Amino acid sequence: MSNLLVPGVFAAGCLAGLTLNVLDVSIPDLHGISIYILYALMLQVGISIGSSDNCSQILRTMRPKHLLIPLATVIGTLSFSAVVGLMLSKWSIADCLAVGSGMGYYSLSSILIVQLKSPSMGLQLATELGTIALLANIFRELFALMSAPWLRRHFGKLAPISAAGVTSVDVALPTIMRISGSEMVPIAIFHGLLIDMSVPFFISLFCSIS
Amino acid sequence: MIILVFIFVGLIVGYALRRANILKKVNQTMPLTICVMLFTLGITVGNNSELLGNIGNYGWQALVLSIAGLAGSILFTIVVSSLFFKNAKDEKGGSNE
Repeated sequence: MSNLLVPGVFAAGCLAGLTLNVLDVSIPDLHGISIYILYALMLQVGISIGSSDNCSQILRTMRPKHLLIPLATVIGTLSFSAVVGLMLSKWSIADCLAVGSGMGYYSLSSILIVQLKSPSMGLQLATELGTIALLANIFRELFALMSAPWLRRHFGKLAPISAAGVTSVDVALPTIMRISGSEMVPIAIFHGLLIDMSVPFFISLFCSIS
Repeated sequence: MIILVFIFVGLIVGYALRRANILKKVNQTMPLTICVMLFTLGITVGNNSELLGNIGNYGWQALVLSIAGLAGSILFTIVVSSLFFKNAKDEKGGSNE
């Protein structure tokens, strides 16, 4: 998906919501409808991972030690997010872990958090946390893209892959190829695919802890 | 956890039918679905004056969380690189460290 499309659509939605608010038009129960769209989305996420052409091909070239790279990304992101959770008094550690679990997948993580948290914390707080997840994961993608040359220079070829999180398989892949070299592409795709699968898992796990 | 069931079913369907052309369409419908949901989320946020008034407050919390996530993953990747990927040629850029 194009880089600007997602924030653009979100901003357009904000503008529409603001206009409706100013005009004093009440909005229908969007939450009830969107849960079914979410189920359809999850089905599509599964289908797209399962049917991806290079999936099995890349899996064959990977060795067990390559699992350590996505593992480092996940452990690093989650442990540091937990530390932030200790500092932010408004949110629990699990809430911050749910935001961190987005790993740069801002569209999915924000939607999931709003849906999964609203039964327990209410729509207001859940929307706030979802907004934080959206922004935090947009920032992550932006920083990962901008800092890729610097990360490569100081921390090695794997650092831009890890920083990119889930986007190492799509948005950040061209940058990684240019900065870290084309031999890193299978590792980047493998990393991104595994993180991709871990995002819904970790978010629903941390959202179930209140 | 019900969403994981949907993903799992999708994975099986996707893998079983990976040769079918119809599945290529998923790569077009998925961004569309995400856009619909994000637009809906946008309406909820824009319609919520309390949330919109505090957007700066959420912005810095998001900033702290994103920097923490980046720093953590880079740190652990440095450890993994130096322990397990030493032999790969030129794993480090070499200008620092």
